Amino acid sequence: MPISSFYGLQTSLRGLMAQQRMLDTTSHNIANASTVGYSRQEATLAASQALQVPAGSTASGSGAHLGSGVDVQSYRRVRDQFLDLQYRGQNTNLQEWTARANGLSSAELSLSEPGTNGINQQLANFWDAWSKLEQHPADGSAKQALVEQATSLGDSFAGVRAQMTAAQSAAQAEYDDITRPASGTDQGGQIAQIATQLADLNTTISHFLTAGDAPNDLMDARDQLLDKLSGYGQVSVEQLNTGSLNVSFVDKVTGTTYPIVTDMASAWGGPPAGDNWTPGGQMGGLLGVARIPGGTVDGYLNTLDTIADTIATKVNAAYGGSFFTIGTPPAGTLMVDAALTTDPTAVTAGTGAPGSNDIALKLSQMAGDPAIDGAYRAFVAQVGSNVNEAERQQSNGQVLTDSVEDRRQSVAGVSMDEEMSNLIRFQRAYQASARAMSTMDEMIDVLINRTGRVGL
Amino acid sequence: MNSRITTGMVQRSVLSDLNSISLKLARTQGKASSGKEITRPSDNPFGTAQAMGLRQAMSANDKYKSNIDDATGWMDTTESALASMSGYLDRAHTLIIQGASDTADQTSRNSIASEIDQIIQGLKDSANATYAGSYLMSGTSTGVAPYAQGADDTYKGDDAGWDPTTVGVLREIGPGVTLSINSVGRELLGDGQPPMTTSCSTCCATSPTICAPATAPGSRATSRAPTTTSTRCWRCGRAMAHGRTASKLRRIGSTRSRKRSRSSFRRPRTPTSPRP
Repeated sequence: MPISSFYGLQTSLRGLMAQQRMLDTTSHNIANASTVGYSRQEATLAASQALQVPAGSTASGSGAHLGSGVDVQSYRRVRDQFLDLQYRGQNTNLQEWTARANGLSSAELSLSEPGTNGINQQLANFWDAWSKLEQHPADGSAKQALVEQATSLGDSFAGVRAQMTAAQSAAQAEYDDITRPASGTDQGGQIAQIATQLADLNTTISHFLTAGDAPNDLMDARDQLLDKLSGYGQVSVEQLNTGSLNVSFVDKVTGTTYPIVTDMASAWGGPPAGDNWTPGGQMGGLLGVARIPGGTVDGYLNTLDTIADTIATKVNAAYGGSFFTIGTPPAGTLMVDAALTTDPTAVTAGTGAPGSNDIALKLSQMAGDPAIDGAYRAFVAQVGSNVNEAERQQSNGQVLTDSVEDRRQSVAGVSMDEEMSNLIRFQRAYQASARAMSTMDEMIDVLINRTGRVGL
Repeated sequence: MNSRITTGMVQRSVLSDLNSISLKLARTQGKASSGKEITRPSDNPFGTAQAMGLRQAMSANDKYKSNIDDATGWMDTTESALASMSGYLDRAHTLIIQGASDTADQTSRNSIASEIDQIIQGLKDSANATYAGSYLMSGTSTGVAPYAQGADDTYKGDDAGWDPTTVGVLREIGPGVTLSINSVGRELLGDGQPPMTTSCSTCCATSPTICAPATAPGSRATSRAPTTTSTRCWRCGRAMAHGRTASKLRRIGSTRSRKRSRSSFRRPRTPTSPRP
């Protein structure tokens, strides 16, 4: 069977078109080199179906397959799903410690230690005021100063407690905002919004995949949303046959799943009742700080209450009467007895005559009491250690997340050098295809215009 | 291990390094500008607790120093009061020896008696020494002068600090170290002599002359109004709690050294020695 003289033209054309597509993909990669969440794409080429030459056309007499050029098989994104899983695991951990470090930092700041404004200094001043009264037991101004200082100590406790409670409620409010489910016209919190977007993407992606297309950029967008979701809590992703996904949060302890997206519909209905779960991620970090009872700040408040209660009890015992009054919560209600604030001269410095000072001495000797000053110092050290630990874990998590992200970028990121060299490669291939086509053209020109002109 | 280095990786790792360097720089600058190694407990939790403990110790030492200064001032004032009392006593001693001599006639004895009256006022004045508005020798009743000027010689303060069952004026001068710094006027000077007009029936019976009101000019009896508080015999001292005797007066010079040792605390003693 003879082969068409124009056959080579078609082969060159295929080459031209394929190289053009390669150049297009390269341009797309270069354009998106800085796009967050973008994974590089490549056009996969394959030789097009060969022309079958029947038997007898070759010297040996057998048949043959004559190459017909190249075809673009698919445009695929280069991405490693296992690295995605690793990244999300590390990101969950990182965000949990970040939220914890942030929440505890504000609790730590409310202590304003070490410094001249903290409770430690107020305690020292309080004991010092007793010492002044010890020196001047009958002096009204020493009594006045003592009552003022004691009031200011109580105020310091109340102030620190109020600020810690504020840090606690701020963390709880952030958690509530993130987890709020959509209802009516309210789009809900971040999780609910991501769930809606994921459901939309699932719908579109499965539609295209069913039709045989590969919606690479949409899949990038979906992966990016999953990355974001992994920051809020531990996420599990289930791949469906249609290319759609089921996404849910997984309790770190019990393994119970809480669906976010089921196939093409958002399924996020908010956290379980009473926030009785361990979601990890930012939600876990915030809950760990804010939970009542059992949260870290709740523990701080209890310690502060115990110290305030001890102060009231011990001071009153040494004073031999009611110097401090205390209510609930103790640290918020540590106050000098109303009878003494209205008449500071009613403070008694000693058990004997007006000049006796044994009570003032006993109280002044309580300075540095292990159950008061010591307990408070231990408390500050505990808060400091917790914040320190959270920040260390956070930077650890950052390093781990970065290293997984590096590996992910190594696979999916756009390398400019690579794209530039590809550009040259495809350009040259395009030029060569064009040259092949003009060679073919010259050949046909000879055949048509110069052949059989003998005698003309 | 990364076979492919992509633009994003390079950019991200440079950025992350820059961030960590900037953080270090900011921390160091913060330390330099605030002059503090620790600005938050989490910078160094253990160091924070230590720093707080040291602050407390400093404040306690300030307190001890202030207490010691105060106690030193108090003691210095007490000492100078005692020194002037000792001077008065020396003079009284000299006068008594002069008066006891046979060469002294009634006129000179009268003038000696009137000088001794002045000395008594001077002694009370010294005992009424104050430091920062507090009477030094009234026990813990620091707002009350231990002795009133004039004829009334009774001690007005309390016995706190002398009587071991009541604590005196205390100063804390070190961790767990306290010192009682006050003096009790009664221990030094007693309650004075009861008026000569008050005598017990026994004395009146044995020597009726002493029960007659003394009228000699310049004698103690004329200058003393009978007091209602004194119900005891001036002569024999029966049922008398305190009396000023020559031997008691002479002890004043050594009183402070006695006070140093608690074991030498004594209850107010009933004078048993017969009056001269």
